[in-house]
Amino acid sequence: MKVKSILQLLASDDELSRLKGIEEVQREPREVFVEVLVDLLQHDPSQIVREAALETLKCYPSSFLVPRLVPLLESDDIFVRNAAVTVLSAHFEAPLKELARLVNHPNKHVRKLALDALFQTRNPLAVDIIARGLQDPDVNNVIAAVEYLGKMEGFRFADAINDILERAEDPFLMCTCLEALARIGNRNSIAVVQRKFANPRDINCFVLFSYLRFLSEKGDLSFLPQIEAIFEEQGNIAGKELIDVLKGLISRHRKDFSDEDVQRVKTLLKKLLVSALPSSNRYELLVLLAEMGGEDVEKLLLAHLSHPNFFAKLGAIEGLAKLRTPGGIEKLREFAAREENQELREIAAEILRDLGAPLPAGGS
Amino acid sequence: MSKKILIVDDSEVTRNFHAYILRSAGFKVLSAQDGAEALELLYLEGDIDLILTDLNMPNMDGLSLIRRIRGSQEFSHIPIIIVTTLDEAKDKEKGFEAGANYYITKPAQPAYLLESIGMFLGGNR
Amino acid sequence: MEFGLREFVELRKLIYAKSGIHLGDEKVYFLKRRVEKRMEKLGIEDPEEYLSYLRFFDRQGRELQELIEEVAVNETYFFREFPQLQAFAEHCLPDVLERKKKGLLNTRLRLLSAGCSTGEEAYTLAIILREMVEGVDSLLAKIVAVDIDRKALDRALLGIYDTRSIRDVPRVYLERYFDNLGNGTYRVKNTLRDLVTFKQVNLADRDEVLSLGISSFDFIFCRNVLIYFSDEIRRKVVENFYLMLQPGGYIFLGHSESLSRISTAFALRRMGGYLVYQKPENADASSPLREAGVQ
Repeated sequence: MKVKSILQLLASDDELSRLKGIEEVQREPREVFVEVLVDLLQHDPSQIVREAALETLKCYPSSFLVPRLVPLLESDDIFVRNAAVTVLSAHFEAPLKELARLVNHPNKHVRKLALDALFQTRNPLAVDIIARGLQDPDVNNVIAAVEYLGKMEGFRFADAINDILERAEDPFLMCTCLEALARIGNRNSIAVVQRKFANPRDINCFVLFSYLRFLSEKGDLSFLPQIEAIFEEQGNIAGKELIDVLKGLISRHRKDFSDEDVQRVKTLLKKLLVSALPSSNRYELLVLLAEMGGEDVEKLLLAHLSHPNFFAKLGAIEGLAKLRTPGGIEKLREFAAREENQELREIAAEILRDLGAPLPAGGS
Repeated sequence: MSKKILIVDDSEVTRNFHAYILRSAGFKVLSAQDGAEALELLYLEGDIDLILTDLNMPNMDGLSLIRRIRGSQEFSHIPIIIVTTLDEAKDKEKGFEAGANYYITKPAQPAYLLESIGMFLGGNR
Repeated sequence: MEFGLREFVELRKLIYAKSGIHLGDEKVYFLKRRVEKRMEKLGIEDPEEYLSYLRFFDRQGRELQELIEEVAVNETYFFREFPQLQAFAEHCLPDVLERKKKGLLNTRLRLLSAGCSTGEEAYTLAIILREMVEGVDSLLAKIVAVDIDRKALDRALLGIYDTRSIRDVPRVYLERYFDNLGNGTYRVKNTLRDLVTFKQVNLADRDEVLSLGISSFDFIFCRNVLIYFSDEIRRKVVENFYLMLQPGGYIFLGHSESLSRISTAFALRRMGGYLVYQKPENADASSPLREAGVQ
């Protein structure tokens, strides 16, 4: 279609024609249409047309768009600002140079949008540029940079974030650092966290959850006393997070557990099991207990096979499968034959098959 | 019955942080990563008591979200508090014009956040 | 690391973001099995690795799409997702009929069953119309049922179904609208056939789709179909639906699918306790923003 005809469609009064015009532009995205698309993005009264314009702008190489879009980052219209970020970050080979320049912009809000755009590109090359945000004078931008570095696995910046955590007073900043370090933290991070949060009682309750997130990914056995203390004080609100912590500990350090450690962890798991938690957590606890093993655990799992709750039974099934005791397997076969809930019966049967202990034909 | 609060923000750490604060005060918390998801949660749940929302978000920004809520039949009465990095007077004006009840700039101090919520929900839980 | 609740929650978010499908908590084992299947195909042992793969290496979203298709339940049968159909029958349908009476909409009643496959949904809608709409014939009511699959359409035209398909049909309707062919199969009666037109259409082809009618449908059903499309096509299809709907027309997706992930041009309503999407009543001249009293 000729350029003139397309422009006519784009200027038309009815939605359908404008959308048709946009579709034509998509077929052959030419520079001449950028201006109109940006205009539609900003001013078209129809949301569906604005969305189509936004999608179409993504079809252009960023070199066409940068001059037109960067000014939009300072637009008064919030939708337009966010649209500009979306389009700028749509390409893997995004305008990184341009965005890097904007990370030093005098306006802190523009700096923030630049960081957002860099993050949204998901381009590993953006990581180094985002890291400049760690020195931003505005704490919100530092927080954004820390969050994004964690998410993008910017491991080489762990120490920079360790330093920020060490000096941080603002609880939001502390939380952000902890959550990022949960992803990319190193040995120094463990030391910093041990130092800064030595006494569980002193941990600001809002920071507690992030602290536990860090522990669930990076914690080692040296944190066991703190974990126990936290359970005593705040087990009722941090139950879910404590489960994750124990799960992480078990999966990373199981072979380092002394007999005493095993007992301590089992005790915690059992206490959590009887505390008031959503039932999906019960499932996890039972499976974790199975990891720890022991006759007492087998007894517990067997008892849970007849629990009224779906997740409890599910945990019991998986737990017993893990333990692989002859008694447990026998009970599983009974369960697969007699259980009321069809889904659970099928799961049990499947598990038995995997264990090489299928039901006799005609069962289930 | 605990009051239910919907947190809307594209930053995960922000959602988490605000959720921690609210949960520790006994509120039930739901979160959404942008206005579009927030609207759906609002309609799905049907019984949200208050909304905390950021402004800069992809898909549907905070102001659009607020306008839609205020224009709806079912949910126009819900108290909405904006929590954002945008701290200029013109942003606040726009926020209130769109229909927000209150405006907080980030980083939100936990006590202040809870106090502000308390203004609209009275003595929760 | 073992696949636990945390991995489930992470994956659930990724799946939701891409396909709009929401997996409830009780699907944890269900998802775990499917992930394990995918991991085996890819030769990955650790769920964390699989998550990393999805986040950083799966640039085209192909693996995520594979996972989504594993997760999507695509069985079709009569009266599937009953509560949603109830909301449609008891709230949305009366709403539209009321507006037609007031002369606010064109007088014909038109429904679209998009991705109708072997026709169960289309005939289900026909039953609802027969039951709920007085004088349905005088409204020149029509259910347009489309699919790209010729074979499926042929079976739909045949209108013969087995006990699995009709298992959720209320007894009364079974007797009223089906002929029992004896060997465990049932055939739909003409009273249903008369309301339905089947057509082979590619939903991604704008011209084909719009030839069915612009701004002329009151209801579009597209349940558990969009998830199989790429992001780009999905958006185009939804755009087409928008254009085909009358202002105030309703669109129904599968109950765990989200339309807002694809487009925010639709208004949300809560009808009969159900979340439904509606083309804004004063669309064409305006946007949802204007509807909210802002310009």
